[in-house]
Amino acid sequence: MKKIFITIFITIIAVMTFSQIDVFAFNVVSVGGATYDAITKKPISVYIEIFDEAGKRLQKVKSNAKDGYYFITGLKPGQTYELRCAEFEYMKQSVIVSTPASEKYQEISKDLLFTPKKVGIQIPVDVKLFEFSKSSLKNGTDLFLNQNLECLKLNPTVKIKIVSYPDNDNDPAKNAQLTLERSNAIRNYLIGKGLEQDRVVTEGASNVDPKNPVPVGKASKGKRYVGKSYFFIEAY
Amino acid sequence: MKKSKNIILSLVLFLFSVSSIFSQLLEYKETIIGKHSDEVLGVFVNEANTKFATSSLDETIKIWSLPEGKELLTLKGHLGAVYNLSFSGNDLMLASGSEDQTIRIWNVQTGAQEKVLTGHTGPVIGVYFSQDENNSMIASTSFDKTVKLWDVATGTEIKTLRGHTEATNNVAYSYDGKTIASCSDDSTVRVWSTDLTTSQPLMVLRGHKAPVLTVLYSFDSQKIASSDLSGEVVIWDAKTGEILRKFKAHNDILQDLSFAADNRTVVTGSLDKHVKLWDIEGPVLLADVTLNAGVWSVDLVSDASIITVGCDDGSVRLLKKVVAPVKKTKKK
Repeated sequence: MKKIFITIFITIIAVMTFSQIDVFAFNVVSVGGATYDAITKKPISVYIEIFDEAGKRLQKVKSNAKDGYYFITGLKPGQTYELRCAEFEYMKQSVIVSTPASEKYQEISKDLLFTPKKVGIQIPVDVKLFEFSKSSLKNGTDLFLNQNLECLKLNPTVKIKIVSYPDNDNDPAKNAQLTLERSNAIRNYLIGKGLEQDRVVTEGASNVDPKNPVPVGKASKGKRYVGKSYFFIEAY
Repeated sequence: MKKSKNIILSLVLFLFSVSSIFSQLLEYKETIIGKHSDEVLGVFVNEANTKFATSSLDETIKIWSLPEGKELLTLKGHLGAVYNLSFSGNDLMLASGSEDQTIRIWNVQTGAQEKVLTGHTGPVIGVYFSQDENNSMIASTSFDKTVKLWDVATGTEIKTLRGHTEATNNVAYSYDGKTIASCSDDSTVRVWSTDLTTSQPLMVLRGHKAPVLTVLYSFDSQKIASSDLSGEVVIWDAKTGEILRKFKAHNDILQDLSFAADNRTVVTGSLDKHVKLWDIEGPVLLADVTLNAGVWSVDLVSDASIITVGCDDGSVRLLKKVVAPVKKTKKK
């Protein structure tokens, strides 16, 4: 009788152990990608911290200095994780990664751009926020501006200046007015979403962006030129 | 005297053969069916040959009926030029890649935007649905030099293929589902396995001397066609990477080409204002249509009877094959 109980007990333990191996050892998701400087687009070597939904830090990994490659494994399927850059020279940024619900091992990919934290650094807004000669934000720009907003909220000591450039050099006075209105439209959006007013100042420009002039001739696929907007870090 | 007679005879024969070649060219009738408000950068005909989509510098996508050429829908949502398009194999979804660094998936019936895929760190230039039964993946290329693979159902970025040293311009899945081809400003075409456990290219195809702008598989997955900035077309053996044909097709940027269902007829369109149809087994020029605008994008229906064209003046054009009237024979 005693032997039977021992056998049953061992069997239960064995089943539980194997089921745990199945769940926790094989059914995992890994995230791999490269880390880049958001301004130069060059690979950088940084520490990345991984947090779960409860805000608990799970891991800290370092990306490769040569190609910026990083690899995080042991994540659970169907969960949401937050990746943060753990380097003082870079802005605190939060990248949310949702792992797919899967019953087998899976890898997903995520490249990460981190913005250097330096006074005077010029951060371009990579998408066209405005129509040609217009100063109201286009529909759908919230998707991109919210990323900037979240970054500013995570870095509460950072103060910025928004500078916008015109679409041509035809009328400097009109350009100055248009671009100031564009910068103010971005500022108003950020403040409307909860950013402190004293952290953002704006500026316009009379002439086109010297770093991003109006293109001459055609490339392999043409582009209609619309002046860019930039965030300058004023203080942190 | 006899020598000069021979020369004249040769000249006559040469002129005769040239004129007979030209007289054999297929004829296409051009119709402008509508306009975008800016340059038309992408054109894609659906699987059933009943619709086609166009994308433009004006940041919109339009869906048109075939063969009528009636405008059905305008899709808005991108925040920059829409560079390229791909219908899913079941024709229910459309993927688009844009200057705004996103890939968007649209419902073809309603025009509703279903997903926004973010992850590229530069403008997205090429998109292509996988050719499996469920169209489960999308491949994309970008100025960020990578090729990314996305799970359509979850919108998750599954894999990043690295190796190109300059911007990647276009991408295509093979119809047997085994490989992906990408092309780049680095003048190469790279062939990758769809096996997600591998990350190195199976082949690096070198043969172009200029940035390679587009790449496409034939429907039997036996050949890859690519075109470049200088107007050259290269046809590759998809299994070995060997160059099968290489020819100068146009005198300006050759941004787009497409295969017909017979796997040997290819259409090319260029900023030199010509749309040409080729039998790549020669290559033999089958048709040469001169337009009054540069061509960014071309596609065709399976039997090459209709060619869809996107132009740099914003116009969307159909070239319909002119069928010669059948000669009636006298009954005895």
